[in-house]
Formats: sequence, structure tokens, C-alpha cells
Amino acid sequence: MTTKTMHHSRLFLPSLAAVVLLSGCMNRVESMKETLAFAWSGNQDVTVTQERLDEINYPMMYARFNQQRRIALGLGFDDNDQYKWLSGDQEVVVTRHGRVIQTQGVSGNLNELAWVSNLSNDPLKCLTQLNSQCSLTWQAQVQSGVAQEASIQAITSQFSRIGSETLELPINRSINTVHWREQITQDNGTTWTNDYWLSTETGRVVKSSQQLTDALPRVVTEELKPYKKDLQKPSNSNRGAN
Amino acid sequence: MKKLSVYTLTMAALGYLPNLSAQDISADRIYQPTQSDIGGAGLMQTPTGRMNRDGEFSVLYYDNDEYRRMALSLQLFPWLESTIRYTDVRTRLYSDSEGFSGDQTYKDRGLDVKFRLLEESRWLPETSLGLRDIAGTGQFASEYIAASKRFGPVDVTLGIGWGYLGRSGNIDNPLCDIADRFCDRANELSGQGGEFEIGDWFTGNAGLFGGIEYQTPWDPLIVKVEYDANDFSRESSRTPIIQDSHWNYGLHYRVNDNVNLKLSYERGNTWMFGFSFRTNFDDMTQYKRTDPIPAPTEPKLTSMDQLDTDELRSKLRKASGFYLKRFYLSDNGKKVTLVGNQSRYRYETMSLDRAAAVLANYLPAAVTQYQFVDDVLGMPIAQVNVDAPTFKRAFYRADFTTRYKDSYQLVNVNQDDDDQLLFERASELGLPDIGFRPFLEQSFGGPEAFYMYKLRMDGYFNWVPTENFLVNGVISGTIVDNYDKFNYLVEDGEAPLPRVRTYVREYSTQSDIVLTRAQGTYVKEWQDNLYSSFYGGYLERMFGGIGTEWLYRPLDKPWAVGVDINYARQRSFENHLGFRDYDVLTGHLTGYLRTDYFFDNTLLTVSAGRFLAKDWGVNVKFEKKFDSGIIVGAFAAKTNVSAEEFGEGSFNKGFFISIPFDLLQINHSTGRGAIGWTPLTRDGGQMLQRAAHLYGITDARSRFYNEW
Amino acid sequence: MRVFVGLLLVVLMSVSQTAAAQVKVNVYLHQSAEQPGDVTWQKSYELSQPERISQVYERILSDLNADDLAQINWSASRLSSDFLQARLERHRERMVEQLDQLARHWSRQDEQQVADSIKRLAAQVSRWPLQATYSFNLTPDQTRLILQQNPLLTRADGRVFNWHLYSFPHKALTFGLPEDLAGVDNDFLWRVLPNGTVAKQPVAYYNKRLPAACYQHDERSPIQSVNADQAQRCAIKGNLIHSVRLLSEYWLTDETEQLDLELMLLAKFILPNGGQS
Repeated sequence: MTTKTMHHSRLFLPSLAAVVLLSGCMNRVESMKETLAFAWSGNQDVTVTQERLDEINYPMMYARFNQQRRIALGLGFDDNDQYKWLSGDQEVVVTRHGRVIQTQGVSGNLNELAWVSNLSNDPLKCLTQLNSQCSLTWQAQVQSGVAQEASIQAITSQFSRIGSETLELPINRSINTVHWREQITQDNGTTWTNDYWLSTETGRVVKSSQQLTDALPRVVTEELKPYKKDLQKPSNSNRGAN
Repeated sequence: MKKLSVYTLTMAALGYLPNLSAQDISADRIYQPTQSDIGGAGLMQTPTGRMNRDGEFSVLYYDNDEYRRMALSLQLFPWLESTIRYTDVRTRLYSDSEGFSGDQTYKDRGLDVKFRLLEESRWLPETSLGLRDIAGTGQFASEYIAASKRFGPVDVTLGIGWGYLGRSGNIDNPLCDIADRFCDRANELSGQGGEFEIGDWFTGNAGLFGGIEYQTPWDPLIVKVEYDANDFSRESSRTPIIQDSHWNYGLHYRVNDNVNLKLSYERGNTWMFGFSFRTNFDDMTQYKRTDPIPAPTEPKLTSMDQLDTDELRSKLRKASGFYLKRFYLSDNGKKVTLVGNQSRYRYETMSLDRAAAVLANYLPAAVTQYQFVDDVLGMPIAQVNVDAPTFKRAFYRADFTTRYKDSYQLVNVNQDDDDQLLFERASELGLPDIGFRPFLEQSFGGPEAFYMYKLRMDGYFNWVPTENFLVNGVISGTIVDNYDKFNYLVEDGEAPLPRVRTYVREYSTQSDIVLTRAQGTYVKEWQDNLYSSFYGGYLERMFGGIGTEWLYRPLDKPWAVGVDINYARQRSFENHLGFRDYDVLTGHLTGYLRTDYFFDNTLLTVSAGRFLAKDWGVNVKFEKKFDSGIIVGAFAAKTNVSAEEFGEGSFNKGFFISIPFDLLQINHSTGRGAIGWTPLTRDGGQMLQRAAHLYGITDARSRFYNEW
Repeated sequence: MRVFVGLLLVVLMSVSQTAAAQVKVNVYLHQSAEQPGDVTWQKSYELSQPERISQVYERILSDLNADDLAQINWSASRLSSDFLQARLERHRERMVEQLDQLARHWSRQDEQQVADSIKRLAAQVSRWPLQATYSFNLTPDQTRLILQQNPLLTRADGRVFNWHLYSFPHKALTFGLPEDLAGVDNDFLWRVLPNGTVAKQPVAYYNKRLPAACYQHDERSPIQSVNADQAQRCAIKGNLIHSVRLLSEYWLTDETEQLDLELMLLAKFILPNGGQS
């Protein structure tokens, strides 16, 4: 009796188990896969394809902080020439005349750029107007750290023209630029250079590599899709001179 | 090395993949109390007065020539640290009978508790009172008071110990002056261990101990020096332990936030090595992929005539996980009632926020109240009324201060007179929920093998063929086990108790695939607060039978009371479906009390009645839920079986940890998995392990296992 | 974005009756640390229809010149209503009253020095330049992106809303009692963090590397009392609005056990830079 029962169940139960295996556990496995996929994609450079860019109706750029992954940002708002660039992860990068003047919520445990003073005298403001009479020196205070009591450093900046260059931008765009180099000296004596490539035709910054204080990360920006307002050739009046 | 990788995997599964660069120590971890060699915050052999932050959990392994120790230490409350420890005495066999325990070395179990008496302030040290090795076999039993005071990077500890900790007797026992009974300590332990030898506490030799813990300028490294008041004169190892010095020196190295390495030179002649892993049950988190609350739109309907219930059902299901069973309209179109349930979110309000948002975007503005009835197995458990205008204020952010929860009200289920049924899901014969899950049965520190385990794969099947009726089935296939070593020996030829649990070996060697459970349960709600169930079948691996459970549980109250009565018959281990001769009428009167008033997030369950071996007594269970949702619980059953009859351990007890699945995966879930530790399995104080307890089913009446 | 907000307004008209009534929004721009409190620009907007924060921000954009705009420290801005400010003032009165009672208590116990310290604190509290705010760290970009951070300014919360803007840079000051006074807690310093979190930070020789106890600001109930049990552990990385030194717990009676915490409920609303409003 006993052996018979056991015999029966040994045949019956594994076959049932096999059926159950096929249908079982799918949800949990999917969850795990997604968990891993999430962790993996978190470290990849973002790349925007030509097709995607064509569908998008707002300006875009790439940005890379230090050696971290490259992120893509779209221009969300233009607040009186302060450009607010937004990423999918709610990172905000604010630029003015091509200079990064503020960051909010940048990932990777980096110091944030909170404030740059004296922006009205930034040589970039004048240079991007394609004005030929620009003052090439500038002094500013820069606050790094998320908020108020973070450190404030004074910097001096000296611009020099490197020359004309034809630049390859992402998605096979080639553009004629003027390459400007900015020598920054911090009040503690440290010094380094930043580079800006300004479109020969419109004066807008199409590529840059910039860092304002030694406490801040270096950020490299590259234009993906220009802002229409920047494509208008500046009326070479002397707006930049005053 | 192999051991380490297993741990690494476990830690990774818990979301804590160790980052192996030494500099990554969080700033707030620097002054965190470190573990002693014994387990619990301390220096090396001796404890400190320090307490960890609540929820702190450490697993420690420590090794030397005589002893190998493994300890789990948990800071249950800010003022209570508890430690479970296994000591492998490498120089001694488990028992004199080789037939019983083979060549296994002696294992000692111990439980330590430590209470904080005083917090540190400018002038006063943090002071704690501790009891080591209570309710174990008492080999290392000690009591102590330790005080720790920090001076910059140096933490200084001074303490007085009794028992093992104070064996050198370097001072006169101060309590001996108060009463003579403190002057001498009983040498031998009575009986089977596991009992609280309160009479011995603070008696006999006393010793002063102390030391310093120095946080070096290099964050990962801590240096420890201690003076140990134990002279190792009476040692469990039964080999002489030579002490050349009372001074011990140690290094503590934090590899990262979760892994610590320890190296020490003790007694002037011995090197020891250990490591510990830590986490905190309060802050364990897991990134969650959460669908956002739907964005506000104009309500799609302008009149209820346009209602498309299929559309509404699928929107609700997609956005909130709410599974709609019935949909009513009442109060001249001002109220809707949705009967159903959700099992997507551990936090009920996360589902409610989304479901109410779907309704706000869909139903006409004239509907001012949404009523959600939580239906489990056809029983309406509780109802949440959502005041739609209030909800919409929060939803549209129409002011600064209104939040979603301001619109929610938990009430008893009520039926409106003019309820108009707009939709009812066809009562079709639902498909069973079938799946697989691995299950690890384990037991530590048994005489036969230190670690007894069985890894099995359970095919489970939950089926609700009609409303109010549930069928649970579990078929288990053994993957790997060592239960064949289980070797319960009956002294004097006859077991003192009916063998209700100690046929483990027979059950586990019967077949690799067994029907663990096949239980049918009928549930019924009688009025708002009274629930009942009737069940029968193969209730668990070792017993089958029939029974009924009744539960009185008022809404949103901290208490409930229930009773269950079962006729159970022992299942056969010779064939799959048969029974043995032993049967029993077992049942308990059970009180449930949320003790949040005294201890945050806790549940006390007391069951009094007749146990499986026909013994009468009380089972007490205490559960503490941490912020992460992890529940740590302990239970103990004391029945009218004497310690001698019970055998080693004296009474039935155990610990368990219940982990929300939610913490292990990126998706939300209401499920939980449990890991249990039962030091020993004996026959006294054993309860029936049936499925579908009413307290769990009715959780929505005052949530504990899931969150409001 | 604007299209989206507009649609919501339509929805809201049918929902909220109180929303229809008029509210006034005053915007003040304060100059930087050198002259705290100086208002260099101000503008009042009478809103005939309720507007969201982002819409008021758009109005400011069109009225304020670009260079001033670039200097604003948005995360330090304070937005409150007359209702909220009135509640804060009532809380201040209660705190001053409690401090006076505590001073009398220690005076009766012959602890005159401690009583004097407490009186001194009470006098300070009644002079603190307080500006209630619903949210700290109010940045226009976030309000424009996230509806839940972009509430409507309506009669439900006040008749007059005041939005104080501050220019960079910010200087963190320390308020409260001096270190060497009797009854003062020298072991802990209270900190106000940029997001409105109040933190009790250990600063004494024995505890200074231990984590702080933090109490988060809740913008939906900005002046609600918190309980000491609700503290969360946190690390302070040097960014703060200001610090406050208060009384040692030893001198707090059973009735005033949470006095320091309640005082911080006021102190976190001290104007940035300690400027006068």
C-alpha cells in the first residue's frame, strides 16, 4: 500500500512541478532583471540620435561633469538670457552667453555652482555679440556648494584668441569657429585654462570646457541643436560695449 | 574566501554591495560603537557602556584556538541591545556519546541583553547594565555595569563584572556587603540550560575591567586596549587557557560602511581574528520604480451616463493596482463606492493617491465622495472615504497646505440604502495563483550538527474558486539538506512527550517531493468587527485536520482577540497522504496588542491554550517593525512540561526576521519573506502551523504588516 | 508648460470657491550682506484671478532687469502670507511667555544667573526679525517643472502674500545666547539648513563627530510643532542659513522639555543675513 502510493506520487508530482515551473516566478524574475538593467544603464553616456533630434522641437546640448557620464540637456526656459537647461533626471544647468553660471541637482556628489558675480562685465557677453572692441579681462566672485555658507572664491580671468578652427560637433555637424582661451587665476594662486569655441557666423558658444574655481567640477558642453534666438546674426551695433 | 563571497552576495541582495575602497567611510559612522569579540558593542573580551543607533544589526565571526564565535547583534530600541551567540568550543565534543552527536564539537548558545541606564552628557558617561549568556547553558554567564566617556578621539570605558567577566575577583563583590546571598555563586548549572538563573545574578567574584578605544586620525582604523578581569580559571574549553597578561590589544579596521575586520593580541600570547558585517534595519532602502500619480486633467465624464466601467477598471488597475470587483453609485450621484483591493503597494496610501487621482480625472465633478472598500476573500474589511473636493485641492495644488491624506478617512464598511450597482465583475472560476519559491528551513546549534538545513523549492498554489473560499497548496521538493543527521534520542527508552515535532528525520527522509500543505479555508464576516474561518485538510507537514478560528477586531484600535479550536491528527511519514494514530484537540485563546504606546511599532501576541503534545500553556510573541519594514520577532512558549521532560533548552523559543520583498527588488510589493531561527526543535510548546490566519487577513483594520 | 498650467486653472474654477477672490502679492528684493534688509526693488501685484507661483515669477521676469535677476539667490527667498505671519507671531508670543515663566521658575530656585540668561533670550526672541515662509529652497525652475511645487496663491492661505528675494552672497550668522553665559548649552548648536531642516549638532569635545538630530521642514504645515522623537540622524556638510545657541536641557523643566525645539520653530524663520524686514 505504502509503496504504491509513493510510486504514484513520484510520477505525478514532478510532472506537475514542471508545469508550474513554466508559469511560475515570472514576475519576480522580471523585477530582478529590471533592477539590474537600471543599475547598468545608470553609468552609460547618453547619446542622442539624428532621428530623435529631428523629432525634438527644443534646443539641446551635451554636458559632462568631470569624468562622469555624458548627459543630454534640453533648453527649458530662457529667463532674460539666462538659459535653463534641464536633464531627464531633473538636473538643471544655467548658462548665460555660453558660461555655466549655476547648477542644480547635478548627480555624482559634486560641488554645485551657486553664484557668479559681475556677469554684466563677462567678456563672453561681449565676444558672443561678435563685437571687436571687447575688454578681455574680468573679475568675479564665485560661490560653490549647494547653498549659503559654502565657500566664496575670487577669480580673475584673461581671455586670448587662439585662432579660427573648424569644429566637428556631434551628429556630423561641422562648423567654423573662433577658439578663445580663458586663463583663470584664483585668489589662492591656482591657475588653469578654459576653452570656448564661438561660431564665426553668429558668435554663439557651440563648445566649451570650463571650470570657475578649483572646488568645482570641470564641465564640457557641446551644442546638439542650436537655439533659434542665437542663430540670428547680432546686429553689430555696440550693445556689447556698454 | 568562499564564505566571504556568500556573504558578499547576501549583502548585495540587500542592496549593500560593499565598495572596496578603504576611504569611503561615512562621516557619521566614525564614532559608531564597534563590536566586541563576543558580539555587542564593546572592546574585545569586555563590553562598553555604548549603545548603537536603533535598528543597527551586526553579524560577527571571531576565531581563536579554543573558540569560534558567531554572533548576531541587534539594537532593538535606543536603550536595548540584544545579541544571540553561538560559541563553538573546538577542544571539546558535543556529548560523551559519539552515537548521538558524532565528532561534532561542543556548541554553546547564548543570549545577551544590555540596557542603557544613562546617556552621555558633559560630565556623565554613557552607562549600561548588561546580562551575558542568559537563558543559555550559562557557561559564559556574566553581569556587568559599564560606563563609557568620550574625550575627543578617545573613548574610555570602566566597568564592573560578575561571573565570567569578573572571575579574577580583583575586587570584593560590593553587593556582598549588602546581603550574604551575593557572596557566592553556584558553580553548576541546573538542568538543561535555557532557564533564567536569576538567583545567580551579581553573585560571586567581581572584577573591575576597562579600556580605551582610540579613533586614529586615519578614519578606517581604531586601536583598542583593554584590561580583562577574567582569569580563565574555569573554562568551558576544558583545556587550560593560559593567561600571561590581563591586557589585550586590538585593531579594528572599517573596510567600508558595512564590513569591519578585527585583529587582536590577547592574554599576552594569542592572536585572534574576526570580521563583522553591519546594516541598519531603520535605513535600509531600495530604489523603487514608482509610477507617478497621474497628472491632473479635466474630468473625462460630464455625466455618469457616459460611464465606461471597462475603461475605468483598466485605468485604476494600471495606475494604482486597485482591482475593482463592484462599483456602486449612491446619494443622487454624489457618492461612488468601489469594492476591491490592491496588492501592489506596501503603503496603502500610495495606491489610494493614484486611484483617487484616476477618479478625479475621470468622474464628473458632481461626485464628491469616493468610497474604497478593501475586500479580502470576499470579506469587506475596511473602508476609506475620500472627500473629493479636498483631494482635488491637493491634487491641483490649489493651496499651500492641503495634502492627499487630509481627504482620507478610515471607517467601518457601510452600505448606503440607495446603492445602485453599476458594475459587478462576473464571478468566474478564477485561475489559481501558481508559483515557485525557494524556502530554507534551518536550525542552529543542534547537537547533531551545528547547522541543520534543508533547502527546498516550494511550488505553491493559492486558489479562490468562489468568494469566501481559499485553497492553499504547497508541494515541496528537497534540493539539498542534512536532516538525515537529525538524531533525537529518547533517554530511558520512552519519550516523555508525544513526539509531535521530533520525527523531523523521518519526515525528511521519506521522499524528496512531498505535499506540504493542502488546506481549504472558508472565511466569513459576521458583523463589522467579527470574522471567522473554517478550514480543513493537510494543514502542515506533520499534521492534518479541521478547525475554526474566530477573531474580534475593532477598526483602528490597538487590540484584537481571537480563538481557534482544531482537531489535528499526525500525518504519516511512511506514505504521502496517510495519518498516524496520534491525534489531539488543540487550540488557543489569543490576544493581540499593539504596544506602540510603550515601544514604537510593536505587536504583542499572547496565546493561551492547549498545544500539540497535549501540554497546556502560553505562547508569547513579540514583534518589532523597523522603519524599513523589516520585522524582528521572538517567541517563547512555556507549558506545563517540566524542563527535564522538555529536554535541552527547557522550553520552546525562537526568533524570526520578516523582510518585505519590497526591499529586495525595484518593484513595489506587499509580500514578505521570513527567516527563522529555532535553537532546538523539541515536542513541548508546539503550535499548529496552519495557513490563512485571520489577523493577517484583516490587517487593513489597523495595519501592522503593511503600512497605512 | 504654460498651456498646461492654464488648463489647470480652468479645472480649478469649478473646484474652489475661495479661489476666486482677489489676492495681493508684494515682491521685495533685498540687497546683499553689506546692507542687510535694504530693499532695492519692490513691486506689488493685484491678482484678480488666482495665480500660481510660477506665474508670479513670470511677472517678476518682465519687471526686473536681467543683471539684478542673475544675482538673486532663489533658494534663500521667503514666500509667506499675512495669515501665516500672524500665526508665527502668535507662536512667538507663546514662546516669550514660556521663557518668562521659566526665568521666574529658576529665579525662585535661587538660580539668578540662569534666570538672567533666560530673560536675555526672551528679549532676543521678541526682537528676532522673523519672516514666515511656506517653503525654503523655492527655485522658480522647480515650480515650473513640478505642479506639486507650484501652488496657487489664494484666499485659502491669505489676503496678502509677501515674497522676499535676496541677492548673493549670503553670510551665516549665529543667534541666541553667548557661549559663556550660565545655563547655555555649549555641547550642542542648533543649525538651520538651506532646506529649512533644523538640526541639533553636537559640538562639544566628547560628541562633536557624532551625527546631528534633524527635523525636516514641512511646507504644508510650516509652523506645526514637532516632537523630539521625530528626529532623524543627519550629517551637516557646512551649508547652513544660520546657527542658534540655546539653553542646556538641564535647565528645561518637564513643562518646557521641548522648549529649544519650539524656539527653533521660530528661529528657522529669522531672515537670511539677519536683515530687518
